[in-house]
Amino acid sequence: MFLYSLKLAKANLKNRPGLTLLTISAIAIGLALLTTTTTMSYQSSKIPLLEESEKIQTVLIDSRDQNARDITDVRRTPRLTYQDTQNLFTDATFPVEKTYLWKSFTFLNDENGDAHPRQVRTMAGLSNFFTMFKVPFLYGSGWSKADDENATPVIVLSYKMNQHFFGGENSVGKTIRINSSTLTVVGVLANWKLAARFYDRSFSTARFDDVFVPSSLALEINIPRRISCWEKDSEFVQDFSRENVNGLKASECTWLNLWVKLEDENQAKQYIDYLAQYVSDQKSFGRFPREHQPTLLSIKEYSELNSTNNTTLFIFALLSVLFFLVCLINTVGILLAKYMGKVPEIALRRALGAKKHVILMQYLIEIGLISFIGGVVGVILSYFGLKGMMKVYIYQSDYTVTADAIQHLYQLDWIMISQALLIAVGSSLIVSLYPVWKMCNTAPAGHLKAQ
Amino acid sequence: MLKMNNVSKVFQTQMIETHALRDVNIEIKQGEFVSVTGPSGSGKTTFLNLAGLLENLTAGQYILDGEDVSQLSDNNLSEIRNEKIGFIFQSFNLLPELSIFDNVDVPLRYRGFARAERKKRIEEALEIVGLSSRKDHSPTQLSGGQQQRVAIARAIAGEPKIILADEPTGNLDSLMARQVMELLEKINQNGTTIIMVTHDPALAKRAHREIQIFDGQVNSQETIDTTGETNEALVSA
Repeated sequence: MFLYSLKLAKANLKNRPGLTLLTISAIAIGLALLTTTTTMSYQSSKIPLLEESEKIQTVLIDSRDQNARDITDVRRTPRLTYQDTQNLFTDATFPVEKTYLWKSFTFLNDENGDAHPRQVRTMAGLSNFFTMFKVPFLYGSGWSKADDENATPVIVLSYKMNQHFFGGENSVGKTIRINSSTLTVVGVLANWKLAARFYDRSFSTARFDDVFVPSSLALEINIPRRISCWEKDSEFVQDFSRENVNGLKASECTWLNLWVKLEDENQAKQYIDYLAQYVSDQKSFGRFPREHQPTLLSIKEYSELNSTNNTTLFIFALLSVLFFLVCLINTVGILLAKYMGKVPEIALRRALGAKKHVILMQYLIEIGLISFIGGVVGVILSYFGLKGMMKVYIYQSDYTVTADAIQHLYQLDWIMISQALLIAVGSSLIVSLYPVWKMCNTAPAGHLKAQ
Repeated sequence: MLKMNNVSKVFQTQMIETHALRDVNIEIKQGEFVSVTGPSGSGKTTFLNLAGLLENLTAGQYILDGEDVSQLSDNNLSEIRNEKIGFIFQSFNLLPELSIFDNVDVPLRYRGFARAERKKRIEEALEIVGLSSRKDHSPTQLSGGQQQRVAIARAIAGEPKIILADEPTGNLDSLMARQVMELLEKINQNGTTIIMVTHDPALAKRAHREIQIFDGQVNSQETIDTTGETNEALVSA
């Protein structure tokens, strides 16, 4: 009976093809918008470094003065000062894997001046950054611990920078200049597809870092630092960020991100206690004047907070859901208009022995078919919708972002495609169920004479 | 074959109650050919719809083929319609998007017959009505008389015990009407009970018995002999 119903449903699609096309279009357009926004939301809320995302946590302590603004969102907790970072990093009383990093902008030149100089996003950190965050390499590797200690002039290039300066060839061993310093390339990253730039706590999806250098070297060659200073230090911001490294090191300015890897919840609790003790000890030196409970935030927690707080995408998603509902209601209206003409046929089939549920199945199969076709067309449209949204984003960023860097955020995957088809078929069936059932309950006698 | 005891049918709206049939008592035996006549609005079609299980009784008892069908579920009624009753309508009621073959196939599909069995029955039914060569045609390619013969093939393909025909010749010219009538008589001779609603007195006289309905009540039942003469007149209670 299922195959017979399928055959009738297929035949019915050709009946009044204009209405069938209209129904498919309504579903496809509504679904395309819904899939476009949900894909953007889904891709941007993906958790980076998923397998380690609960273990790797950033340290959040607040060393600012009394007059600083209260923290209402944990993500707004300032970065760490140099002295706190060093204290916590070098203290061996809590032996866990740790790393720290800070961000900068520099100018990159090749030795021969063949390629155009580039202003590049620069990340200064430690050698274990690459292993702790599972950074993939195309050529070479990260620098060594000894390089950290000796401020060796070495550099790791992103895939994109290696393309720009060395045409994508293996540049390990070659040299490149940051400002006036010559650095040797020790590694080139593979195309690192990270859901978001989590390690600097920006969770930006727009652009990844172009080069990585040892923190010790970065301080030695004095590349600029992005810092936040409070109260008495605020007048030295320019000086500390561009010139006076020693002044910065001794200040209460915040600019470093410290990450620790903790194996389980228990260890995390112990580490928070350890941080509380550290803050308490520092208070005795007159630091940490504010009442503040140190805490940790894992990559996963951070990502989840970001995705639930993404208002723009939430509004987009809400609007697209409403639009899809309107399309669905239209679809039901069109289907009803189409099926009202089928009531005499239903009456005849009922007279000839069709049970109600058989008629119901036939029409639900037809609706299933229509909505599946609508779903497929909707997925195709959303592919182009996502391409369009990506172009809009690139345009909005004044072309500082390349398609390569963000295309993974505008990509449909099988989960999204299956979800879209399921939504198209499922929601169409649900909203059509009642009107179709009502139609199947039409008394046959009244329509047989009239045919 | 069919027995109705004190059957009534009332159509009710918020304002009006319409008594379409009142206390109807009818018994039709296996193999009978019965015509049902009466003026428009007298309740002939309502009687046929009740007999065909297309409407529910308001009161009374209806026994079809030895089974009380007055209180059966919708699914059971569908099964009985499919297995025991064949319908022929005035306006043929063929599905225009299906071929002749597929039109005859409709009730057989709902019966759950295997493909080979369906094919055999359809071909036999089309052979009886003389339309074997037109099985792949669309109903719109046939004349009115041919369409009604397809409807008859659809009605007999499931080998029902009873055929209910509502003005089967109402939309046909006299020649076509005669052919259809001859076909119904032939089917009846094979043992199938036929109840035919008609306005045409001449056609009514060709049945074994004529039931006249007036104002929702059986006015008279006349047994007709083979020459078409009335033998007996009974006025119902």
